[in-house]
Amino acid sequence: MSAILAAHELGRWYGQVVGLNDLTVEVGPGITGLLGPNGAGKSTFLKLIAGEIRPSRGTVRVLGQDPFGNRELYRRIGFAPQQDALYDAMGALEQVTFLLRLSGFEARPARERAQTALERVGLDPRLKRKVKTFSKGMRQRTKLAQALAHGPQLLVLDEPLTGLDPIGRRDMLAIFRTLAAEGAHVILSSHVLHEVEALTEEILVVHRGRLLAQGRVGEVRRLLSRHPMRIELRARAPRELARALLGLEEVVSVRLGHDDGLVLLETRDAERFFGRVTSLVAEGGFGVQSLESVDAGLEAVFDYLTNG
Amino acid sequence: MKARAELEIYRRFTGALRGHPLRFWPIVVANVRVACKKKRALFFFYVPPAIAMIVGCFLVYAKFAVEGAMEQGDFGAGPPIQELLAMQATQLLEVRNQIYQILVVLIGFSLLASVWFGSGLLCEDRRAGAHLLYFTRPLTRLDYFAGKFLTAAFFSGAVVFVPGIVICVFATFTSPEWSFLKQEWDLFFRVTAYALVWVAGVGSITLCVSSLASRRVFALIGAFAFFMLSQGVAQVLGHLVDERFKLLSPLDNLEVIARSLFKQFVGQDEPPLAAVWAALAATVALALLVVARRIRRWEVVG
Repeated sequence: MSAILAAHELGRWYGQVVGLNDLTVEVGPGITGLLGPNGAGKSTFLKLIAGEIRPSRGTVRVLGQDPFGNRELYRRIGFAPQQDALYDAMGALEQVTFLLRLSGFEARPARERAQTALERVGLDPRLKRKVKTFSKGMRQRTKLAQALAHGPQLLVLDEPLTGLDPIGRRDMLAIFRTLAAEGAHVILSSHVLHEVEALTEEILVVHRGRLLAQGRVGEVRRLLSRHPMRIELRARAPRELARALLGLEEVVSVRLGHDDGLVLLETRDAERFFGRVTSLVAEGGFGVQSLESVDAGLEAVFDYLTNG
Repeated sequence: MKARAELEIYRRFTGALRGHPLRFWPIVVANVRVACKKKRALFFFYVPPAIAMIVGCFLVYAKFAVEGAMEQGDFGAGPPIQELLAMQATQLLEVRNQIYQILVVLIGFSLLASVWFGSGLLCEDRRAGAHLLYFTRPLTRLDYFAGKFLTAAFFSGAVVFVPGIVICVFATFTSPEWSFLKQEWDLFFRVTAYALVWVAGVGSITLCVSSLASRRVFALIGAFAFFMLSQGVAQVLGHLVDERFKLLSPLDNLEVIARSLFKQFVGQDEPPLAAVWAALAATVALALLVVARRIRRWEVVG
């Protein structure tokens, strides 16, 4: 897997304020979610990737090149910032065409590509309305259209799901998936954890300017040994099951839930536990109906990482 | 009907893009187009200058028509040749003065147009974050500045340059035996030079204020305040303390330059012309320095 993005000891500060500190990371192809609470340094990191700002220390390489001031690389990157960034007095087509002209396209191809891009994100290019009359969702779509209209290899999207209604989010996620399937790489930041989880397994978690975790959600979860993994089982004979589970050395605690048949347990070695629980269940005849890991999801991982 | 689905979102661009030598040009075109949607402002700032231009053309025509009629003896016996030459010289001088006077009237509108259309160019980009979209394009900060500056220059220059040149062209065709072109051809260059000096001075100051302000309305007030206050302070200090304080006012400096360019009377109490040029150049340089620094610092805005 060749990295599309490599940062080494990357740091960026604004006067006395640290935006990003000592971040070393490699990001592979496909979709990567950048997560972190407000002020974590996500936007700073994305601006560094997009070549908007210069690192205060360290290096960042995007598609093998230094992005800041690299005009050749700008043709291969599409950036949609978190800010509105659009001219209120322009229409969507006018806006995207204008930005394509700045990218170096001649007038006619720029207009054609702008039309196509707007259609792709679900906006009617014939729409005469000015951007100032657009809903948040339409603005987000326009921003996405301008980011992908010039056919970049890498899309850097800062909070593209913010302000969208559920249908808008679903549409946007579908667009990201299609983009990735078509060969584009996408790095997007978001607060909407469950939707990022539905989109990609690959995550970067930053907090207070530092990288907290990177990799697949499951792998990251397994690294969080300080927090035993919580597992829920439902069985017809919960007490017997609980007793049997206590015999496993990797199980830290077992308790019965309020619901009938619910058994809650904590384990520090989920892999080993899952390996042994199958035979235990088969031999014991506890009538196990379901087994579910309740804190292996992105939301729980994010909470453990950011709240300690 | 055959089933069809629009599933293609992304088509990677594989062609080669031409490195456009005038990368700032789309910025100028887009900004001018956006500004041209403000119909009332356009009407207010450009209709009076257009009327002034038409009136100026008519006055020039009237002067040359009378002169032509006298040469042909329509009013009885024609005057002697010496008188005719003297009269022609006077007429041409009057036309020159007239062009100057029309430009003096028009620069007020030019100032208004420049500040009105130019004050939001940088601060509104910054406020909306539009510069984030600009600077992920193959565009330098110099291109960006050039695009914005030419936009401001377009709106202010149009009010000074176009009427001046149109009146000159009109005078060329209405003057008898091309006398205007033969004797006052330099007015074309003087009008052009003045328009360039004017847009450089007013445009750079407007952009400077815009780069410092957070909103267009503040930039608008700031720019007007700067021009008015600098003129007032310069006049007061110039009269009370030292004449050299008059150099503090860019508008006064531009007026002195206009008078010298159009060979108008320059009073004894005016600062030397070289000092006026130097003061204006220093003002423009300072304004551009501020703009350059502000645009460079935009990378930390977030």
